[in-house]
Amino acid sequence: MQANNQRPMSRRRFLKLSGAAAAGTALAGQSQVLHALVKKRGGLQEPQVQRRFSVCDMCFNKCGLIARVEDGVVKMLNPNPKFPKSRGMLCARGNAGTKQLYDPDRLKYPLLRKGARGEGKWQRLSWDEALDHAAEKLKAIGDQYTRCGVLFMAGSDLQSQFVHRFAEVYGSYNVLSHESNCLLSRNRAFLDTFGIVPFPDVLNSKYVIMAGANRFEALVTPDSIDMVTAMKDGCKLVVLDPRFTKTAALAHEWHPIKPGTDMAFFLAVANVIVSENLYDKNFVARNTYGMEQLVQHVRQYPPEWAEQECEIPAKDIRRIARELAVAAPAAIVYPGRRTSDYENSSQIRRSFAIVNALLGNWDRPGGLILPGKVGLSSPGYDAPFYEDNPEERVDFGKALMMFPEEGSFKLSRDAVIAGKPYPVKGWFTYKTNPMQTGANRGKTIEMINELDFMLTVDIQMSDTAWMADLVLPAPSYLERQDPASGLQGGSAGACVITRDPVVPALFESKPVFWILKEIAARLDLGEYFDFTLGEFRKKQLQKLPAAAEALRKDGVYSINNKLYGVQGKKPFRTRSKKIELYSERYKKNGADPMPVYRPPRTVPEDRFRIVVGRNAYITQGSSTNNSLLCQIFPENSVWIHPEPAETLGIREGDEVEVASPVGKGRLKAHVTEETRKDTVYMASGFGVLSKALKNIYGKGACIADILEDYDDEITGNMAMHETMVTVSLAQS
Amino acid sequence: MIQRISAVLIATVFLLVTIGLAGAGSNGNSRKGKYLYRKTCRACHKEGATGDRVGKPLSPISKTQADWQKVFDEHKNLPCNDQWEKLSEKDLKDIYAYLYGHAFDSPSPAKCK
Repeated sequence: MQANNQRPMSRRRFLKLSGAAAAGTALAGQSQVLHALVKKRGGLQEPQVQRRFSVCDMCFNKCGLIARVEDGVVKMLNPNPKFPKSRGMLCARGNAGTKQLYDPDRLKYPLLRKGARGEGKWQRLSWDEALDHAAEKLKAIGDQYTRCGVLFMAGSDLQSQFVHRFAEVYGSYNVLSHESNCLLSRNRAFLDTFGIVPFPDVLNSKYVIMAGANRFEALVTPDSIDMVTAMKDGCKLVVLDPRFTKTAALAHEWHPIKPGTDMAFFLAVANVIVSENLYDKNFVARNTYGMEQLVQHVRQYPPEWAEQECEIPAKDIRRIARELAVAAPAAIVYPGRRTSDYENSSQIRRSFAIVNALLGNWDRPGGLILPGKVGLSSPGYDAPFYEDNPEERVDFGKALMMFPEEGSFKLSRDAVIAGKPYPVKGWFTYKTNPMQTGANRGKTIEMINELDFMLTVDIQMSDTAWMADLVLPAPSYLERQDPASGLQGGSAGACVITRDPVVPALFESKPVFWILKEIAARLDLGEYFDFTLGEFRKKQLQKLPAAAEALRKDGVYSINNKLYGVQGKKPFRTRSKKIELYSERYKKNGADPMPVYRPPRTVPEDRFRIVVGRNAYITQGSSTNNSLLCQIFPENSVWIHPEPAETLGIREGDEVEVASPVGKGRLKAHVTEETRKDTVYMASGFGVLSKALKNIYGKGACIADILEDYDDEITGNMAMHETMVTVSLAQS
Repeated sequence: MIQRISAVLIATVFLLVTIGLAGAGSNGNSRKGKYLYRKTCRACHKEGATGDRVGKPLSPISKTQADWQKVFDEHKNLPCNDQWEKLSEKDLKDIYAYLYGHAFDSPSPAKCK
C-alpha cells in the first residue's frame, strides 16, 4: 500500500487544464477536462496502479476505503478490510464516490452572483478577487451589525471544525451544524438520562426494538451490518414504523405504529416491566434516580390504554415487554439517529432511554455502551472578545434546553427573518444544504432575502449554493488533506482517521481550511490560522505515537478501548450522579420531569401525515445528482396506500400534487401497501432549484418545500412529521 | 449568645455569597467568561503549562456544577487566590457562568477545544 504523497500537479499543467475549463461557460460541464488531467500512456502498456487509503464522505458514516488509482485516475473504491467501524463494507453510495470526484457538474472556480438570487447568472472570479470580496463583506457586516451579524453553518465534515474556529475568532456566536435538522433531540434525551450519549452494542444484542429507525436503508455503520450478524446469531428485531421499510421487511416483527405515538408504546412497556417486577432491581437501586416517581407515573399507561393510541395490540405490547426483559441486559431500545420528527421528540426519546435503564443494559454486552476515549490533542487558541457583541446567540432562550453550541436552524432562521433580537445579515455555509434539508424551504428563501451577503463553499452547486452571492469550489474528499478525527464505532471500538489526497484537486477547488486561512489573513485574524494542516495534524497526534504509522500502513488507527464495565463505580454525569428516570433539571426548566404522553395532532379525513426517511442509495441532496446513483434512484415519488389512492382516483405512476399550508410539489404516485392509510412518504433531495444539477433538475418534488417548520420544544430540533398534506391528481 | 449570633451571621454571609454566585449562572455572560477564563486562568491551568505557578489542567468538564460552586465559594483558600483578587465581581460572574454552565454534569458539557 502506498502513502498518499504523490507529486502535486505542476503549475504549468494545472494552468493549461484550468484554461481548458475556462473555455466553457461558468457552469457547463467539461468532462474531457477530467480525462485530460492524466497523462495518456501508450496503447498496450499496463496501467500504473496505486492503492491509496481514504475515508468515505458520501454520507456522515466515514467508512474506510482503498482507492484504486490507475495512471492518476481513480478507477474504483474498495472497502478497507482493516477498518473496524465499517466491518470491511463500502455501500452503493461509497462505491459511487468516483462520480462525485469526476462529476462534470462540479463547481470549478469562484463564482459571483450577477442576476437576482436564484436566477443562476454568475461571473467567474479569480481566487484573489473572491477572497477580497468575502473579507470586505464580512468586515462590513461585522462593523455595521456586530460580529454576531454573521451566521455560520457547517455540515458533517472533517474540516468543519475550522469553520467553527473561524466563527469564534471572527466573533460570532451564531454557529449551526446539520444537527438541529437531525439528531439533537436524541442527544438531549440520552445525555439528560445517562449523562452521556451512548452507542448501541447491536452486535452482541439478543433483542432490538427499532422505533422509526431504518438501519437496513438509512445505513449507520457498524449498526446496519451488526444487526444482520446479530440476527444470524439469534437476535430478535422488532420494528415499529408506519412504513414497511427494508428494515421492517427483514425484521421478525413489524408493527405499523400510528405516527407520533411511540412514547405511548414505550410508557406501556415500562408499565409492564415495572408492574410485573421484570426489571433488574439491583441495577435500578444502585444506579437510577427517581424510580419511585416512575413507578407511580407509568401506572396510568397500561398496554390496553396504549393500544388505543398506537394501534399495536395490548397483548403484543405486553409480550414484547416480557421478551425484552428476558433478553436483558443484552436487549436494546435502539436510540436511533434522525429524531427530528415531533414537537416532543426529546421526550419521546426520553421514554426510549428510560426503558433502556429499566433493562439494566448500561455498559454491558448487547446493551448501551460508552464512547471510547480517543486521546487526540486539541490545538487550543485564545479567541478575541468583541465588547460590542450582543450577549447571546440570536436563537437564545427560544427552546427550553437548547444546546448553546448547536442552536436551532429553525429558530435562528425565524430570528433572521424577524430581525430580532438583533439583525443577522451574513451567512457562511460549508457543505450543508439547508435549502433541501430544512423544513419550509419558502422560509429559507425568505431568510436569504434578508441577507446582505451569503457565501457558500461546496463541491457542487447545491440549492443552497444556488441562492448564494459568492460560491467557492471545494475539493471532494478524495482530493484533500484533512485533520485527524476520532470516530466512534460502538462495539467496533473507537479509532482515529484522517485523509490525504488520493489524487490532486481538480480545477481550482480549494479546501475550506485554505479559504478560511486566506480570509482570516485579510481580516487581521491570520494569527489564528498560522499553521498548515500537516502541522495541525501532527499536534493532534502528539499523544498517540503509534497513530501516524498505523494511518500510513492501515488507513486507520484503532484505539482498542475497553468496551464494557467502563462506568464501573464512577458517578454518572448527571446532576444526581445517577441515571435520571426523573429529571429535576427538566422540571426547573419547565419541561416534564418524566415523559408525559400527549396525543399527536389528528390527521383530518381528507389529509395525510407526511413522513421523512432515507433509502440506501442517496444521502439527501448531496448525492441525488451523482451519475451512478441517479440511475438507481432517478426521482422521488410519493408513497400512498391503495385505499385512499382509489378514493382519490390515483393510480401507480400518476402525476400528483402534494400540498401543505406552506408549499406544494408535483411528483409521481407510488401506490403501495407499504405505508399506512393515513401516512404518505417521499424521499428528500429532489425538486431542486439549481439548474446546475443537470441529472436531477426537473425531477420529482422537494419535501423541504412541503414540510411545515415545527420544532421540538426542548431543543429547537426541527419537527418534520407534524405536517398534514393533501394528495390530488395533478391538473395539466 | 454572641457565639450563636456570630454563627448565624457567618451562615447568612455564606448563604448570600452562595446565592450571589448561584445567581451568577444566569446573570453572568458565559461567552465573556470563556474569553476571560482563557485569558486569566488557562496559562497556568493547561497541559504543558510552564513557569513558576503551574496548576492542574482544567476545563469546564473537569468538575461538576457542585464542585465549581465550591471552588467559587472557597477560592480564598486556593494557592492562586491573589490572581482571583485581581478580577472584578463581574469578571468572576462571567467566568463562573462559563465553568458552571458547561460543567461535567451540566446540560451542555463543554467539548474539548
